[in-house]
Amino acid sequence: MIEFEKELLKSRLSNSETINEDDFISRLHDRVIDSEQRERTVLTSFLILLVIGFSTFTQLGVPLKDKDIYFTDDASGVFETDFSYIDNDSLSINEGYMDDIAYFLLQEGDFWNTVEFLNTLEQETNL
Amino acid sequence: MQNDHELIREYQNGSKSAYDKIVRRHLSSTVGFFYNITGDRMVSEDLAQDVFFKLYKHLKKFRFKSAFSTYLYRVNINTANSWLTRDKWKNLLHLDQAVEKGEKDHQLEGEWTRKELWNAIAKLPKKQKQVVMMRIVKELPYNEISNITGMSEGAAKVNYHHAVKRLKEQLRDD
Repeated sequence: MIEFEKELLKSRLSNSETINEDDFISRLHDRVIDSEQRERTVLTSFLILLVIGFSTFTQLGVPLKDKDIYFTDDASGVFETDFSYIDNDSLSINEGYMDDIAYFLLQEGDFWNTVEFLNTLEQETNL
Repeated sequence: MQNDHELIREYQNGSKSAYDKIVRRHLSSTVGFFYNITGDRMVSEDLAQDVFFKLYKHLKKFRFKSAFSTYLYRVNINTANSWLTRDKWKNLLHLDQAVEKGEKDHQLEGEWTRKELWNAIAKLPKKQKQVVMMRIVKELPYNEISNITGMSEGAAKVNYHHAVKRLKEQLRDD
């Protein structure tokens, strides 16, 4: 066993070559800088993802109220008014509005329509 | 001349030149340690880079409870252990088919080569491997091995005895 241990110790190599310390340290510095840069990139990416994720999460399921106010899919009412479909309830609610419509029709020179409109209004009131 | 602990304190206070001084002081012994294991100059320098890169981060938290050399040995041993494990798998997968040249191929007592010896050491259990590395490469006394590894002196001796017995069997069989 002792002989074998001596053999083991004989296997040691002498490190006679000199090491270029400056080169070694310079490579070490580069590696440290690279690593720090990588860490910073990962951290920044993570923070960006976190902010985007949080913003997305808080906006999920929120109704778009603006749509109700400024936009309507139903364009038929804009170009054509069919007075026969005007809701009765709305007539009774706002009489001033109906007067305005009659006045507007008159101004537009649509006399017969105005008469028809006023007749309809009168019939509705009688009912 | 400042001692290791003083330099580490300086480094912890933000002086990078203090860290460079530590590297310069221990570079040769660290590369020498790995050269004895790998037998390859380039690999030894790469492993030494790994060690000093790890230390660059960990020395900021160094608590001065042990000598820096003990701490450095510990990092060296762990790094060598990882390398031996990687190398063992590489050998098993026959990835390094190239013929080893130079000192690595030098026959010791006409029976086994350094490469065979370190392949055999790589197969030892972790504690035996650690003790053998420290005994063969650095000829450290058992009390220092005990400090570095945390095992008792007796345990270190027993591990070394078992390791040598096992190596002898393995190398004689090959």
